[in-house]
Amino acid sequence: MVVDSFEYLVFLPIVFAIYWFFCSKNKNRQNGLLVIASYFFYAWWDWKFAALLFLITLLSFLSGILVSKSSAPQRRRLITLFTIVLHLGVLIYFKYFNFFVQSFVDAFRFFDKDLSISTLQIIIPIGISFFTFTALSYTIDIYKKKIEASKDFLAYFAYMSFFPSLFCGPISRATLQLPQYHDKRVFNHTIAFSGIQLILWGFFMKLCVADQFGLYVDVVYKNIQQHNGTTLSLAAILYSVQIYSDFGGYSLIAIGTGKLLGINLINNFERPYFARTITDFWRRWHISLTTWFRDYVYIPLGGNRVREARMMLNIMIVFLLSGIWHGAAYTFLLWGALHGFVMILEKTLYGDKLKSGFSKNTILYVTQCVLTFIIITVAWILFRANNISDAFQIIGKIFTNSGTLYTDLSVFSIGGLSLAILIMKDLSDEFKFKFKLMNSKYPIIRYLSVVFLLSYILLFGVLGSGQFIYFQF
Amino acid sequence: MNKEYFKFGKTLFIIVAIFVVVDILIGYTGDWLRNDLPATISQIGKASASETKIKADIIIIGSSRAAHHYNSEIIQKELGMSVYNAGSDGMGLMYGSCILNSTLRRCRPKIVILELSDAILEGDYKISDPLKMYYYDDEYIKNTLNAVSGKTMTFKMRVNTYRFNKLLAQFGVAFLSPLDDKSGFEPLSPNNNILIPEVKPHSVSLSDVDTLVLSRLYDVIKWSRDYGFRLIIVDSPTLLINHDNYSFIKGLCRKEQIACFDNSNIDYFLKNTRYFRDPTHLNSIGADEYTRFFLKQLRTVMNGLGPNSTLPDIKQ
Repeated sequence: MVVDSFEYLVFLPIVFAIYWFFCSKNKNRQNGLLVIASYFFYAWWDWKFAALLFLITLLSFLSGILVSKSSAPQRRRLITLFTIVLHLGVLIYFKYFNFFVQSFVDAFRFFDKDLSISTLQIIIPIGISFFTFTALSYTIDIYKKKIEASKDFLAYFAYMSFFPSLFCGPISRATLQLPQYHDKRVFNHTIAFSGIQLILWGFFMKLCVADQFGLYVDVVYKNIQQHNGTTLSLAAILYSVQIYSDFGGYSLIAIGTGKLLGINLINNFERPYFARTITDFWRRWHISLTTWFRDYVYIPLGGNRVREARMMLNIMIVFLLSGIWHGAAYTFLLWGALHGFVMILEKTLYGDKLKSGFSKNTILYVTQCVLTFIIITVAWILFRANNISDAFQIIGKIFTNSGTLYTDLSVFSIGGLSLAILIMKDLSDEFKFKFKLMNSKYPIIRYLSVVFLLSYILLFGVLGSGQFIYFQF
Repeated sequence: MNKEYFKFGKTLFIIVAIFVVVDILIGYTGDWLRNDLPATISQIGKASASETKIKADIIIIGSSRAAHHYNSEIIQKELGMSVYNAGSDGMGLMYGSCILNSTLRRCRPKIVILELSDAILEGDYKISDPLKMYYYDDEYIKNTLNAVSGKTMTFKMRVNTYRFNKLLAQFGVAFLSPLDDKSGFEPLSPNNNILIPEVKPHSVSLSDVDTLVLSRLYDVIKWSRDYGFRLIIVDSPTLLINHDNYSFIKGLCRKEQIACFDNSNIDYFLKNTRYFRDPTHLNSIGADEYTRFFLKQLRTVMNGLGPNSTLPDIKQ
């Protein structure tokens, strides 16, 4: 089941009603319902992989108990390592096995040796990168004694399988989220209403911005040979908008659903295209993944507390891992490497200014934002292209082959209007405008803005497109 | 706790009440606008025209390859018969059959030209959004939309804002710059930079054919007998050469005794890429040339010679 489907619009109110009207008296009922609903939600896509989710959850739950009960450091380390290897093993098997085999074969072919190793015919389970990372963080946090292992089977299963964040995150962190499942959730109408607002805004971003521009981007990227540099430039810019609205929209739907059920999820986006540097961008983009890599890879590698060369290497390792996390392809690796390289460059050029902040000069601010956006957009070309050769062909054409722009009036008009609304909202949030619509102090303005948004989505949204970009990861 | 539920319920009730009013207003406005559209080109214009005003002796239905390849005016001038090109970008037989069905309620064409390739029969469910406007007025459109979109369509269509999804902008364009040349032909400008992708030969057999799409083709065939028009199925030139392309349709046409022309692989057009806008679409010059070529085939059918076994001569 996908969150922008008709089925979800039936499923969510049913879960909401049962959750608050029949299960509100104790946490076990609430958690039990969440587990049932989440497994139903996942099994709707493929019931066989629901078993995989169950096994990963069970493994991390049991290893957590074993580690917390054990006082011998050696034993604790061994159990933790074993659990990590198993989690990563599952991830590698489903997501990276074919990539490694193919790379191995290609490497031998380069030296004129043909290897006949066959690849696996497997489907990548949706959300595997998200729920294995959630499980990994729990295992590591217990080992590092940041949290106590949960002894509440239902609470832990509800936390691991919480359906809004199951497919595309935000990646949950036990230190922040798990305690919520250990207590009974109490209904609060203000929080629930803000959840509805977030869900609607998420749908707006997804259906009216991302999917509108997706129509144009897909046509162009499907046939890059036929399009000139001008069209490819616009497609690249629109893809930057599309991927933000698509993933940001999904995250808001997940966070909003969480609020409806009394669960707070991590905020995943903070208006990333207002970033002045790539370093700043990563503080605002996919925050749950960035902080995950910071806490479980970058800091354990030494973080900033090492020699400069080592710190640069650490940054590059994190970004290469982040690239490969997104997908088993060289395009993602190159995308990660480019971000890592620019971030290292920024560390060298700006130094402490990255932390202390830049001058508030408007011209400098806009220039830095535009420059950062251009770098990000070039990187997204690598991310979106089918292969490296296509990516370089696109970049080459952008600089050498200008021409008449391929136009799509419907996309430009509706997408443009929707983008203008999105920019206004993000500007208002970024610079804390006093004028509010969704959060106005007058109830009637709040209600009317909700109705406006709902009507706008139904009138202008691309309904029934079905897929989110990050489902593939 | 009860107070919290009550407050939330009250908020939801107010929002739903306002939305219902807005939705009803949008429904009324949309229904009022759709019957008064000045345009006959564009998806919304063609859907509206076929429901409300088109009367022609020859009707052309199909995808973009129909809309851009058959110059109605040339046919009209040569044959002295009125022609309307109802082809629409990105649409297949599901759409074409709906358009033809609504046109047949008002007029009796003498000839219907159906631009069709085997690929469309493999399950091309594309159906244009403007048809949703007529969900409650046209039983055939209702059945088609339900068949394509599943059981949930009945519920979704109860919401007017959903029924008019994506149409307000099209209304705007249709009213502000109405393209109303009555012929429905949509010429494409030339393009000097055409790259031809490789196509793997692919033949369609009965097992590949989608039963729902095929049922719509049989509907069109049945109407040709019921309403007494001559049905001609044709595939116009493309640079994506696939010699196995038309085998299924040819077989079906032979069985049903329908005129059928596979013009997809004609050398004269394949050798002249200047006639193309892109690998699958002729530009305006190519369309005029092709329409004249097709007219000769059309005449053989009209003269009662039936589907041609040898193609008419064409200047090389």
